[in-house]
Amino acid sequence: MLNEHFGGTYMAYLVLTGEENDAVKDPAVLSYMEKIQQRLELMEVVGKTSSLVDVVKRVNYVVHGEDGAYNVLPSSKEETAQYLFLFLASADDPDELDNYVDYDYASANIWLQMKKGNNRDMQGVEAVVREFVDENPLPPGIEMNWAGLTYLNVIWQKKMVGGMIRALMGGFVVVLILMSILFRSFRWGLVSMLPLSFTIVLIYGVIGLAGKEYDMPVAILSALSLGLSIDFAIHFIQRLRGRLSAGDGLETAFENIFAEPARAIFRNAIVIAIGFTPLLFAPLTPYQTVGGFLASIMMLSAVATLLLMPGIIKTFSKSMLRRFAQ
Amino acid sequence: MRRITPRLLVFSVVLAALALTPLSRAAGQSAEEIMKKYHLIYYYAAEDGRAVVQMKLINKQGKTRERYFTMLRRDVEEGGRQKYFIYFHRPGDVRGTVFMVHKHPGKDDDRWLYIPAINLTKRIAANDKRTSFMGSDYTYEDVSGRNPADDDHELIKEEALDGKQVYLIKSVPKNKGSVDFAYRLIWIDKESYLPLKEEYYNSRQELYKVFTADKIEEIEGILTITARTMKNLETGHRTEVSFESIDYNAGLTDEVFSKRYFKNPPRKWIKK
Repeated sequence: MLNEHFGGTYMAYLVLTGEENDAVKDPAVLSYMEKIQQRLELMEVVGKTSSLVDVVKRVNYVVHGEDGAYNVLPSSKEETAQYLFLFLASADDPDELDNYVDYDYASANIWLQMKKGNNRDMQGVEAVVREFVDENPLPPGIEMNWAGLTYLNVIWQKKMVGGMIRALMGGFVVVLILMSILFRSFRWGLVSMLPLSFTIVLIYGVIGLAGKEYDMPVAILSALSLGLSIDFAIHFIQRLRGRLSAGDGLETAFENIFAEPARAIFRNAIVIAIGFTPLLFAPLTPYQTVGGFLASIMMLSAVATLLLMPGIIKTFSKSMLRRFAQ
Repeated sequence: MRRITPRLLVFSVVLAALALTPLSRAAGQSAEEIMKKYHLIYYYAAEDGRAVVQMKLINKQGKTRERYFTMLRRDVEEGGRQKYFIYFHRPGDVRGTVFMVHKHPGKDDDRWLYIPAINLTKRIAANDKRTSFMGSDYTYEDVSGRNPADDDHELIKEEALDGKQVYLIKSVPKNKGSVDFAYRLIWIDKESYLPLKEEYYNSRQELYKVFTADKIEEIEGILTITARTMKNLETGHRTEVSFESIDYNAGLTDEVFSKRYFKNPPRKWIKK
């Protein structure tokens, strides 16, 4: 029904609920709804709004011979009720008003057609409505709430993103502990976290600069980059420590590492990065995001592992190599 | 062994043919005749009639909207033109609303709605008799009667329904495009010729709407359905209608059924 009318666009709606039946036939409630609609329609991101208000105004206009002066809300509850009665009496379908009002006329919907399914747009609309209600108190006994898929996305996003950020932080700490145990050294553990910290911070920075939201695909990518980057780091450090234990000095150890294991790490990164690039041509934005970012994650963390990590190890070689310095 | 004479052969063939003819012949009445009689008895009882009607619209969730109105009917010609004047008492916010229909079989009805809040009479488009009557599950035709000549009728069988002997008739609209149902089954009481049950089927042969006569009473010597339900199986919506204060041959004159009485309906028949 709605998709027929609105062509499958992004819909959200405000629900106004009164304490008693027929509450929404009250002229005060209808005119409040009309004002909210007018305010919302001023917003760039909002397409059309519709509600019982439009139906009642339309009937008023039509019964008065399509006189523009009557394209307004009637002043009494009776007049409103009788217009709705007339509307239903001449409607094809007895459920014609069901999208706008419940069976008892205790609650009514204001439909918003958003131009995009964007969460940021929806948050903006929410803020405008909050501000409107602060300045114009709701009629007595009336409650107003958001509903609809576009709005649910915002709620879901908030919960999901919050959860993801907590999970990522938790993951970071756990990996750090594991690394410290694996290398039996907090310092080495910390160094092994370098590539993934660098990659995640850089990616979030780029996402922020590009004006993209922290959404589901990005959240998943953070978790993935955590896993992939640590892999490179473990590989690199394990080999390096092996050489150091075998008695190599730092310079010699690096020479050995950069000969073979480093090449393996770099090739690994390139292969996976290239493997994900076809996603850039996918029709859906989330796929493009995943493809683009996964490729960058691989390259960035390989670069961080092969350039940044050795640099840091060398800079702090005194304390890092104490154990190997016999 | 007797020889089969040509005469005996002819006799046997005639007998066999008689045995195979549709039930309608055997019953002495054709399906068309039954439907005509039903139409007159159900929709044209007496010369005129008044009733106070309670109509309950109940949706799938069990929520109810109530309409309470006085209905006046006058038959201009038996089985033909008819006039209805409907005055709404409840819901309170539509009190005083009047709905009037002048029914002209074979062409579009005239319908008016009077809106008391602005003292205005509005003509309502009446080109589709199959639309909902006042937001109920009944169509305008269900209320004022579908012309039997609009359908082809077939007597399926005679049987017992709830202890009553009935005719089961299948009606198929002649003009299929104009009607919401593909065919209708109707169980007509042999004694009263009132409909006890109706089933409406769509073009996929699925049952989607059911009418039942829930209570039949004798009023002023006329058997009358005083409670009835129409249920839409697709939407889960149903409409229950009950009649009180029924008065046949109430002496309703033709002038009652005019716009002049919208603002001040005739007190004699309509108590505000």
